[in-house]
Amino acid sequence: MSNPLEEFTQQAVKVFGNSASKDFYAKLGTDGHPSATRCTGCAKVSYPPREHCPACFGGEVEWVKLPEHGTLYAFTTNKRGLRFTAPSVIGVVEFDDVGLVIGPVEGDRHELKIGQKVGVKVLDLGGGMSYPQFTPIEE
Amino acid sequence: MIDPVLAGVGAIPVTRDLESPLPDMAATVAREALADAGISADQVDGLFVTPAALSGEPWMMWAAGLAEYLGVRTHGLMMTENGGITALLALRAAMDAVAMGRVKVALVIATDTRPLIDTSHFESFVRNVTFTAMSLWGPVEGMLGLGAPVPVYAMSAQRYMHEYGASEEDIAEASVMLREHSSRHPLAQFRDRCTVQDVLASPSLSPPIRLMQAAGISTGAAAVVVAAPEVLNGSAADAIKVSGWGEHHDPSHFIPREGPITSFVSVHKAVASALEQSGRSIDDVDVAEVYGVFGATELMLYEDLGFCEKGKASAFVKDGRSTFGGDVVINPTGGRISLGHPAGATPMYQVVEIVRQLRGIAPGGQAENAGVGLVHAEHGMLNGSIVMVMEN
Repeated sequence: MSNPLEEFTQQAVKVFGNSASKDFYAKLGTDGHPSATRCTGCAKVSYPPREHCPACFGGEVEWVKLPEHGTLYAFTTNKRGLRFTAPSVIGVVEFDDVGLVIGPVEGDRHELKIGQKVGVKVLDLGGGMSYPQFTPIEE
Repeated sequence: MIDPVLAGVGAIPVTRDLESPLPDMAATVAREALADAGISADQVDGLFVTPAALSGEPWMMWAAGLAEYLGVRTHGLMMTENGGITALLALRAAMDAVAMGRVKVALVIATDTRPLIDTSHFESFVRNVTFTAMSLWGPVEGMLGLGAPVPVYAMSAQRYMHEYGASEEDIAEASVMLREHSSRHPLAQFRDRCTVQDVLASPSLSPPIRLMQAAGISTGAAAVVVAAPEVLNGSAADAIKVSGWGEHHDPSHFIPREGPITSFVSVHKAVASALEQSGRSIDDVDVAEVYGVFGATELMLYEDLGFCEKGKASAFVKDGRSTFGGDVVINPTGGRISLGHPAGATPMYQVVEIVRQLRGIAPGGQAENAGVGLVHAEHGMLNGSIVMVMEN
């Protein structure tokens, strides 16, 4: 096994994933930006994405990109991260019409502030996998 | 419908590591709870259990295996699991079975031990960590590789300090009080008293959470006998009633998707239902065991349960209002931070303590004239809660 972390992660996504999460990762690689699902009936946006609407239980959803910018809501250090050892900061970001999204944050924890504006980048994790990362934006 | 009672309880001291085999731990607490209830093993006709170990090695058909090991013949056998509320789900299943008249004496046994993590075989270690993270956090957030949810509670704590102007010293007050309580409790894993300075000098886990503000990694077992009142033989005076049960599960797993992360709808709704059913107000509660797994969470729970105003819990603690001689005695065991936290068994320890408090025979500190008790347990990051009101 050349890279056990890559191989087991891909297996785990297969075992524990759903059809929306599979499409999420495929789109992330091609779009270079994370997407959510939006109900075509009630317009509720879901992140992580899913195949149906959790608000009205409608079965029709469409893909929409997360907004370009969000607001840093809280952050801390994820000391024992298996993959995101550098950067080691994990945060919650508030996006308009989406809500709270958790993910890795680029930069030094001591220079981050609650309420600051962040953008989104896509990290290449190797093995064909990618993941969104929040990046502070100077205003 | 029959009103079930909590007739007997048993628990062993909380330790870090597994010190005796899990079936033996289960048998020990089962025998203690039955003796306490004055009920013989051949009267047991229901067995309700947690998994042998919540995050430990899989133990297939633990309920049936344990029924054989104990030697109990039942027509009600069940194992329940949903994170931190696991033990209360087993208790509720037992109470429902007795209430419906299907079972007369239900033995409820909760056990847990820490997982054996072998880091010497790199590939199996990586497989275990990635699969655990993905199964617990889902296919998108599982990629973060989080195991225990310390970072999400840390962000909740940071946000609480930001929103309510609480300092690290304020949050540390919770640990100081809990260690004072556990210093007198024979079941507790951490019994050394501490100061605010000790807490702030302990190692940082995920800022602002420090080691002495975190629940321990623990092993434990506790049992409760749930019975129909008709089977009690003169021990009915010691039986404790569950006068209110409230439960609410928000459709979010760890991060409440629409916020806030400093006040929790599951707690508000569960406590309101439990109090309404019991006809009590929160001011009637004399003693409570709440599921605060980190210092700031402990304080937020005092507020969300209604023991004090939002943002005021550290002053409430510092002024001695949450300890012996105060408004209410909260976590007389030392809570999750000091009793220790064998998560699958934790709520059963809470129930055992409140039963003993309401009988006036608490093994640690005893709340004065305790007549009304409360138990709160949660799963996720307080995304779901159960609140019980108990009375003697």
